[in-house]
Order: sequence, then C-alpha cells, then structure tokens
Amino acid sequence: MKLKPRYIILITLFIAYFGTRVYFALQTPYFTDDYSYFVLRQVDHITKTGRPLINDDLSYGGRTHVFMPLYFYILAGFALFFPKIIVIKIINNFFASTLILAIYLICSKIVKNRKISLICAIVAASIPTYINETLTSISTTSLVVPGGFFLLYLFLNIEKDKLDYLILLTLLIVLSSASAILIVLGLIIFVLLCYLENAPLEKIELEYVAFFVFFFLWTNFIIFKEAFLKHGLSIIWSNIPSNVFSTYFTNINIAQAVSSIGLLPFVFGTYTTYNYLLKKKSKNVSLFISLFLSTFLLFILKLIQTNLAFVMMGISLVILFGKFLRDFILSMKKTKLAKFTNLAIIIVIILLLITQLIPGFILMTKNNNIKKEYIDGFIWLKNNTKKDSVVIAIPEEGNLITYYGERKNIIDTDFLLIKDIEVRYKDVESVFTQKFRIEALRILEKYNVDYIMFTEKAKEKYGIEDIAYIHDECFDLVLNRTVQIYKVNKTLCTLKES
Amino acid sequence: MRQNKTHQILVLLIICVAILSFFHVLRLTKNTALPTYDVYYHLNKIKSGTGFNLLKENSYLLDVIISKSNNQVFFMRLLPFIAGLLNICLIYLILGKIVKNEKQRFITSLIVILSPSFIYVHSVYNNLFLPLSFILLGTLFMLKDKYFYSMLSLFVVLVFNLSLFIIILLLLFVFYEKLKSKNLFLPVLGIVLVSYVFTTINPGFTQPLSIYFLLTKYVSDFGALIGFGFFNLALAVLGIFLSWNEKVKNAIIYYTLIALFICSLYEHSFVVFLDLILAYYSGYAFIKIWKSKWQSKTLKNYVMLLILCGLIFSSGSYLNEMSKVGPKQSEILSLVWLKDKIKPDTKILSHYEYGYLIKTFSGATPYTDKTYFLRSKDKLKIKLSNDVFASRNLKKILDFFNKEKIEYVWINQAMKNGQVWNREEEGILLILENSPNFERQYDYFGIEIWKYKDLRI
Repeated sequence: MKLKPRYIILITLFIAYFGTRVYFALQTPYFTDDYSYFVLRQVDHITKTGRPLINDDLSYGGRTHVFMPLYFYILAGFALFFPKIIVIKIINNFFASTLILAIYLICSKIVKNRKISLICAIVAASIPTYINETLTSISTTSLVVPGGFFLLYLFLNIEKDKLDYLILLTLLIVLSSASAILIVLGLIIFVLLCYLENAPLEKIELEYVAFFVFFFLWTNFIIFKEAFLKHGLSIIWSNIPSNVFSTYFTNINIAQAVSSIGLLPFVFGTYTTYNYLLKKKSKNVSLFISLFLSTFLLFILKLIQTNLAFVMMGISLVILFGKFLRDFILSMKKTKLAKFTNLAIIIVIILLLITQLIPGFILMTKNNNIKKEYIDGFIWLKNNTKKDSVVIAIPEEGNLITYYGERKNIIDTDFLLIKDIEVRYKDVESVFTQKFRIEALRILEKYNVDYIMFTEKAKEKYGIEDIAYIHDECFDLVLNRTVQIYKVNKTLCTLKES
Repeated sequence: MRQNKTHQILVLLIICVAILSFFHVLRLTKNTALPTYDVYYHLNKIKSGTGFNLLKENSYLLDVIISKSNNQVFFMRLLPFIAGLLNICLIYLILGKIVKNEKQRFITSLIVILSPSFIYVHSVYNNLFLPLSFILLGTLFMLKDKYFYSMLSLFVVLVFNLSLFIIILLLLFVFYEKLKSKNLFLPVLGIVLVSYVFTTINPGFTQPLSIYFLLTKYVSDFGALIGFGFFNLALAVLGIFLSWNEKVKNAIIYYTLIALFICSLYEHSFVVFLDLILAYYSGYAFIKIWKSKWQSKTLKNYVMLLILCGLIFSSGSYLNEMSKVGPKQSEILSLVWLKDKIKPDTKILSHYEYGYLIKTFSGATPYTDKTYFLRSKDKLKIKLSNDVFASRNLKKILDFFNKEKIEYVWINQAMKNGQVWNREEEGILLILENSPNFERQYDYFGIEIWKYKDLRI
C-alpha cells in the first residue's frame, strides 16, 4: 500500500513534533509542577498493588484522594515494562502530540483544504498554554484534549455501525478526567444551537449525546459524591483556598488570552464565531463554536481552571481560524486579487511563525529549569529522617516531599476533602512569614511538624530571604545547600504543658 | 393475564423484602441502635407512656398500641417492614387502574421500591408508613368506585396523622377533577387554597432557597435523609417532558406536584408523596425510552444500562448511608452514663436534633428538641442556643446558663464537624476548655459532657 503524500507529510510532522517534544522533555529527569509527582505516586501504587492510592498516609499527614483513575492506570501499564519517569514523559508527550493528528482530521472535514488543515494542526499544537501544560508536566490534559478532539472528529462522522471507537474514546475521556464536562457541555450547546437554527440533527447524534451525558453524570456522581457532600457546590472549585483562588481561576484578560492562544487564531477565530453564529450556517462549524462557547461560559463563571480554558478555547479558535482562512481564500479567488492568493497564504504563515510557532518553540526550551540540587533536598529527607517525620513546605512542594522524601507533608496542591483548608493554608504561610517564634511554634506543634523545608520557591512565593525566627536554638539547620532544612527541636522548645 | 399479574407482584415483593432486609442486616452489623434521631421521639413516648394514657398527650396512635407490647423495639423495626410489603402491593394495584401497560406498571413499582424515600419510610419507624397504607387503600377504593370505603380509609389516616389532611384534600381534588368535573378551574382553585392555608398555618421555613439547599434537602445522593434518587428525579423530569403533549390531561397532576413541593418546604415528609407521583413519570420515561426506536441499538442498550445502574446505585448508596446514620452506640453510652448522675429536671444544652435522644436515654430535659424547632413560631430557644454556641463572651454565656438553669452541655462529633462548629476552639468550645465554670466530666469517642458550675455561690 502506498501512502498518499499528504499522509506522509502529516506523519513526518507528527514525528517531528513528537521528537521535538521528547527531546526537550528529556532534558531533565524532573517535572515542572507538583501535580506530576502526585501522578508518579499513583503510578507507583498501581504498579505495586493494582489499585490507585485512595487512602494516602503521607499527603496532609493522612487523607483520602478523589479522582478519575484511568489515566493513572494507562501510565502504570507502560511503567510496568519500562523505566518509569522516562516512559511516562514519552507517553505523556506522545498523547499530547496526537493533537496534531486530531486537528488535521477535523480541519480536513470542516475546511476541506489540506494546506490549511496542516497549518491549523501545527498552530494548535504550538499553543503556548498547551505546551506549558503538557511538555514537562504529567497532566490529564495530554490525554483529554487530543482525545476530546478525536472524539469530536468521530462525532462529525458518526455512523450506526462505526460506534465502537467513539464509545471507547468516551469511556477513556470520562474515566480519565472530570474536565470531560467541557465536551459534554459543548455537545449540549451544539444540540441547542442546531435546534434553534433548525439545522437537521441525525437521530444517532442525539442518541450519542444522551449516552455521553448519562455516562458522564453517573461516573462523576459515583466518584465525587463524597466530596460534594463535604464541600457542597464549592466542589467545583476543588476546595481551593481563597488566597490561591485567583491563580487557578482568573478574570477575563484579553492580553493574557491573546498571549496564551495566539494573536491570529484569537482574532479570526472570534470573527468566525460571530460570522457563523449570526450570518452563515454550518453544522460542523457550530460544533466547535459550541465547544468554544461552553468553555468560555465556564471560564467567565470561574468554573474551570484558566489554563485548561485557554487550551480548549485556543484549539477551538484555531479550527475556526482555519475556516476563516478557507472562506478568505475562496472570496479572494473571486476578486481581481486572485493571483495573490499564494502570497496571502505565505504572509499568513510568516505571521503565524512570528506570533505562534517561534514563541511556542522558545517556550519548549525554557521548560527544563529544575535543578538536581533542588530535588536532592527532598531525597535527603528520605535518607536522613525518621519514617514518620512530618515536613512542612509550601503547597507547591508538598508532593515532592511525599514522592522523593516519602515523608508526611502538611499541605500540597490537592485541596479536595481537606477540612479547614483556609486555616491550614494560612498556618503554612505563617510559618514562613511569621516574625515571632512562639506563634510559629504553636503552628508547628499543632501539625506535629519535625522539619521545615526552605527553598528558593518558598523565598519567591512569600517574597522573603530568610525565615525571621529560624536562627534560634529551637531550630537546627540540618541541611544547608540550595535547599535548607531545619529540624524542630521538640525536646528543647515546646509550648505544651508537661 | 391474571397469572402474570400475580407473578409480577411476587417478584416485587421479593425485591422489596430483599432491599428492606438488607438494610436491617447492614445496620445491625454496624450499630444496634434504632436509626435516625427522630425515632427517639417515638421511643421516648412508647417507653415512658402507660398505654392509652398516652392518648391524652396527643401521641401517635401506633405509639400507644406498641407501648402495650413487651417487645417494643422489635415492633418498631417490624411494622414499617410489613407496611412496606403491603404498600408496594397497593401501589401495584393502583397502577393497575391507571396504567394500561403491564411493563410500565412493573417498572414504576420497581422504581418506587428503589426510591430512597420509600426505603426510608419502610425501614425506619415513623408516623408515615401506616397512614401511607391507608392513603393508598383509600385511593384504590376510590379508583374502584367504592367511595364509602375510600372515605373511611382516608378518615383513618387523620386518626393516625392529622398533618396529612392536606394530602387527603389534594387527593380529593385530583379525583374530583378526574371523575366528576370537566372543568379544571375549581379543583385547581381548591389546590391553591389548601396549599395557601397550609403554608400560612405552618411556621415559615427559615432556610434561604438555593440550589445547594434544594439538592441537599431533596436529593438523597446529595445527603437528604428523605429525598429522591438523583436518577429517579432526572428520569421523572424526562418523563414530564416526554408526556408534555398530554399536558391538558395531566394538568391537575402538575398543579398537585407544585403544591406538594411548596408544602414540602414546610413539612418535609411530604416528599414521600411527591416521590410517588414522580415515580409514575420515571416509569413513563423508562418505558418510552425502552420502546422508542433508536438508530443505534448499542447506544440504546448502554443508555438503558446506565439508567438502571443509576437507579440501583442511588438506592444502594442510600442504604449504605442510612445504615451509618446516628445515633452511634457511643452517644447512647454517654447518655446512659449521665443518667445516674442527674435528676429528671436537669436541663441539658445540645443541638436540637439530639433532644429526643437525650430525653430517652438520660431522662434529663433537653433545652430544645426537634419538635420545638419545627413547631415554634419564634424559634427563640434555637436562636439563643445558637448564639451561645457561637459566643466566646464568658459573661453572656454564664448569664444564659444561669437564666435557663442549664446544668450540662452534651457535644458529639457531628456538632464539632460542621453541624455547630467547624474549627477547634470555635465559639463556646474555647470557653469550655478554659473557664473554671465548666468541668469536662465525660470525653470518650468524640462525645463530651461538660458540667456547668455556678461559682457565684
């Protein structure tokens, strides 16, 4: 069988993109965010016991986790046979790279122009936020976003006898992350839009949407029921403390949106949304307008995290941008400027290179700034402290303590199901920013802390150079490298009555 | 045909026995105390009363009858169970009169059995299961045109539970519209007036209406003790939507649903009746989906499976939650311990929900109880106790204890875990720990009993 040239180009592109990603991802054996280490712990636990780590003795000194487990199982499956961190980085980037294929297929269906489809696929894959989220972090975004777009492609081509892949993909996405709600809501808005515009909907499309909605509701119900009972509707915000709320859920900021999505897709994608919502009609385009609207709606209501919102909106806008390009070229061909069509495409490509691809590439090179000495501090804990020691660090380093140090932390970035998270968050902040020893000792005793980890990240987070009260007989400096670790002298300094 | 009917009833009875027995087995393996704190209102009456003397105290008739027996707790478990079996038969027979499709009848009855509110009414002793039997019996007689027996049954309901008069009136209006009147105006006017009168004579509900309130109060999957299963509710909404082209025929039912919902905000147990109507629509939706032609049979099978799983999951999860519901053995032990140390007129401060429990096991007088919370118009004692619980002002707290002659404070884990306080040393907890006026006399398994000492003397 001979492959068509367009497929050869596409496969080459995919391999190049995947290769570049893997090259940059493997520049460091570490990950850029705290959540990745949580994933690694889950993978470890699954490979050892076959079950995810639900009752965790180390996180918060003992807590219960709630999450969709499938993605961890997939990674654990690979980690069984290959070196863990390397394979996870490769697999995670492999999943993320498939976005290029998904967008190409979708654009081929909607735009019906191979060149434009290729351009869109590359542009979508180089969205800065997407690279940031998936290059050196293990995130369900790597699976759910490409998977979601593959799903939408299959939905565009839905047929009675070809449902197996669609159903399989639905299970995969829903069981991997609660962010499948974006796709569910997108499909519901799509049905509503079709109804309002009298666009004929296939019966099977409605049947599939019903299946997706029921399946999503049921699974999320089972998994997150306890969390809902505990937190009420604020489960949507994952019990995030008010102090960090704005870092996860931000207000609309056009400049940030443009820099996260890219200038051309943002401007022309938005224009296409307006154009096809109010003037023209296209059922296929409506699907991606619906996805954009559902994400936008959840974003302005602060119901989804900013980064995920930018990724989903960005990719939807890239597809709509492709439609704009196609319409633009078609209308240009009807004018006296027809002979400049190729020139126009070249200009667009150059603009995309400047505004999108080069910044994306630069971002990839910047994503490997984690130093070995920093991680060594956490490994030191494992080798030099008692097994039941409790270590305090900033929330963003909590999972490093539990993964590398294998010791109990006071806080990490998984806030769900944690009682009094506001108090705990402020207590941790107070340990680092407090001026008075007595108050700090009160908090340290409250959480039975044995060690304080003081890192560059902590300095940056709280804007301090040193912990004010730390040079005292109550605290012994036991490690003094890039990371400083202080042992709390419990025998000498205690506030409890004997 | 008849054989098929008998067969269906038998299957339903077996399922009902299995579910209700499963609840009791699950409960007894974890906790031998009767489930829910409200039961202790009845147990207190039953244990303290002397047979028909209880009638003078305006007690529930069944409490009076049970108080004559030797094995009261056993009957408190058995009677709801038997009533459950009887009620499911009656529901099936009623559906036989209003639903032609046999499968729909069976599915609707099955949905009723699986519904959390049905499980609650027939697994926990309460003042609803027996009146419900008579309401269903009255409805069946009405449908069989035996009006005298119907009225007699409905009258018996009032003998057992006077607050159900509104249900009877609503039922009568529905029948009036269906059987006698061709005009919707009068029955609807009746429903509106009855609801208005009911909401006027009942003390107002104090909670602000919010999505969170509605979910946690009405949907058992979100924590409601008497509520709908989430999937029952979703299916019922779908059923109403699918039956919309028969809206004129169903109009009176829609008005009744709205009236019942409004009244349930004031008297939450009405959810049981609301659930019965919704079960009809759930069954309707289920059969509609089942019978409708789908382009993809695979998707249809998956959706049906998901709905069934959803229904079963809701009731399974409810059974599990109910088996864990209070009171805990440790709470009862603490009150039994306290009993020897106090006189019957000793006043104990706690959350109103534990009033009956405190009374039953310690013999002391709770400062407030649920009856006061539900029936009092000004709810002054609730407000005062909430103020004291939240206060760290020693003078204010001591004044309250002296004025109300409170001698003990009884605190359990639920109170410390969000019911009253969210944090350690919040409100009065700080004062209890640090003031010489309070002495911790009991502290086991999260239960604390504090004795108040008036140091002025």
